[in-house]
Amino acid sequence: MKALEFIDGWIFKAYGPCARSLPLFRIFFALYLLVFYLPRYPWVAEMPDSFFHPPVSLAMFFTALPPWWFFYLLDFLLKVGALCLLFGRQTRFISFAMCIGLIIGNSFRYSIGPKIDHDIFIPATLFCLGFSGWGNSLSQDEQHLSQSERRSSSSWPITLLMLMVSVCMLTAAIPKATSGWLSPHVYACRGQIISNYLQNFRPMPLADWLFRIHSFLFWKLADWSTLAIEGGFIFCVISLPSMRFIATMAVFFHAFVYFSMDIFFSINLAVYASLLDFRMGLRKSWIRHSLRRFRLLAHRVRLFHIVLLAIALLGFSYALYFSDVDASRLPNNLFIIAAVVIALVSLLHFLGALTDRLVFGIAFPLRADHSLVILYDGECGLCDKWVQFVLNYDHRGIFRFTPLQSFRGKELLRQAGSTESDLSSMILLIDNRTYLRSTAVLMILRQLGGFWALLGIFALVPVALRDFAYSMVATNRHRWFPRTGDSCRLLRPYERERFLS
Amino acid sequence: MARPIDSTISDEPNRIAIRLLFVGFLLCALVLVVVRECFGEPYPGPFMPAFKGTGLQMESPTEASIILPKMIITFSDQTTAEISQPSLFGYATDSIHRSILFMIVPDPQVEAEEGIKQKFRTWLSKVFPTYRVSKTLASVTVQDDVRKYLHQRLTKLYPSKTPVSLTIYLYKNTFPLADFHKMTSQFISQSTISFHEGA
Repeated sequence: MKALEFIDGWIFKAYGPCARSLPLFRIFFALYLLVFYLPRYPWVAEMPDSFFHPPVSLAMFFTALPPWWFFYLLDFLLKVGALCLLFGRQTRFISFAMCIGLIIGNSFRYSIGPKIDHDIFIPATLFCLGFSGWGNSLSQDEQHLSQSERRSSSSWPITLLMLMVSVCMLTAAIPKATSGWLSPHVYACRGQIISNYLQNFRPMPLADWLFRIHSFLFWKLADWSTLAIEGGFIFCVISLPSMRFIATMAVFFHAFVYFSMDIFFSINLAVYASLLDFRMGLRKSWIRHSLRRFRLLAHRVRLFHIVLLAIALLGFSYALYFSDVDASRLPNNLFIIAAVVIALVSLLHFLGALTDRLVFGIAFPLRADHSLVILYDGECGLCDKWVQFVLNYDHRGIFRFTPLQSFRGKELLRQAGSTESDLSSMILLIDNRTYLRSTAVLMILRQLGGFWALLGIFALVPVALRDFAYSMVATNRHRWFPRTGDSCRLLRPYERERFLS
Repeated sequence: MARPIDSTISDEPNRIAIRLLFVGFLLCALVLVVVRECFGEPYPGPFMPAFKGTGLQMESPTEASIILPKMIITFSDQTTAEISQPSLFGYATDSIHRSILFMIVPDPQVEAEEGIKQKFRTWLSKVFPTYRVSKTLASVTVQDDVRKYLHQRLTKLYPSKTPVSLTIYLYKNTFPLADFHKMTSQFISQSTISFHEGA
């Protein structure tokens, strides 16, 4: 019974936080399909029937490729579908219809030659999230829903999608493990890059640089980390934080593959994006404003507009497709760079959480009911600047300040049981617990949030090293940052209240 | 099936159906793995590219080889031009270019499968005649529709000239793994596709 409860908890709750931003993910996913994924089939229409050798698939039931117009029609319908998905029109029906359309089209696409491009994630995403209610908000469908229905969505489809992703990744890891990737005598990554480099004709910016590396450690690390990432998915699927971590690592891996072998795993990146909390973007007023306008647009758009837009987009895509211009390079580069930046920020957040757990023993940001007091040297110019900096960026107004020399400062220290009397040490009191020097500074940064919180990961540096750097600055603070008459700005009334003496 | 985000698990009306969907997916994945082993990779299937081994044909522990083509077009005015795979096969991806090439000329590094797997495949090909029965897909003779396709492609690429034939040379390039620039080429085969009427 407990096992069933555990499984239910995983299926229905583990990916709960992602469900809240599914409507935003739907918009991102539809845009991805429109810009990067479609059209899929114009070249298939050109192929002679002698090339038609389907694998075990729907295409196997055909004796020849369908006529050319079938592929053009399919591309058009998929464009219409992607636009309907974007505006949230009949979202559930469209999700399943696109899933079926792509499986039919891809069955023919992969009947040309023995290569199957592993894009199963796209139909899988459409199938799973079709159940999720991702069209219940920011959509045309929301007009027919009550206020509570608009805020409803299920997280189990994300769990199912992530299980599918993990199983797929496992099918890539197992053949590698059994074909020499683990052996210390085989440089598998290097061989794969050479093979790709010699067979293909595209620029591979990292490849030439990589070929100059002959380090055993580097290449085996590349082999083993590839296996660890691909095989790690199946273990990490158990929880959202672990899945986010492995997906972050996979983004770096896919970026490495893109720049060294020019294999663009954008589909994987698009699917990992379902793990992101898109609502973080809503903190920006211009994004909220844009979404309000998008909602109005989605309410007004009609099928006639979507069909016209699909024709225009398909015409533009085909014109690029059949020209000699390789228009994919710039958007591909931008997409992968954006993914790497998001992954970096995500990684820093992981490190931040790890720092909170291992070094500070507190989870930041703290709630407003905690008492946070910064004690500082009231006669130091650097300390004044630091206090002003904290005042500027502590948007929730959670910190209080008092100079170490003040009666209140000494009283607080006594109450906290601290015997610290060194004026060069910044002290942070959190609910009567005392934190000193670099630890205090880094904890304050963690509490400030945003970019400053990311700097808190320096707490992973051993405390002796951190405090050595801190005392270097503290010793010379009067010389490097002399106190001037105008170093203190005029405090506003609500700021003045935050000083305890 | 969507429900309020903050509702409890017991609020989910289709709990059993959803659990069965998860079990169904795992069972399907298992069946598809068996299908892959017997009949080749199916589509759709829960598979990602394997990138087995080094991706190269190993000649010895320190040496590898790869088959690379050289394609020469001969025009009616007896001039010739070399053409690359991306130019000839156009808009498809690089992996498809290589596939198309080896559907025109046989890939000497792909060996026909034997044994029980091939028996399964041969059996299936009797039911579905177009099914991909083997990894070697090139016909012994170039079919007329392939000839027509190549001719159309070349005419489109060289509108002012008349292509009369396309010759595909295959070379086996052997190199030490430590430095693939030290490559030695060995001629393997030559196939000429003539575009003359009736050819």
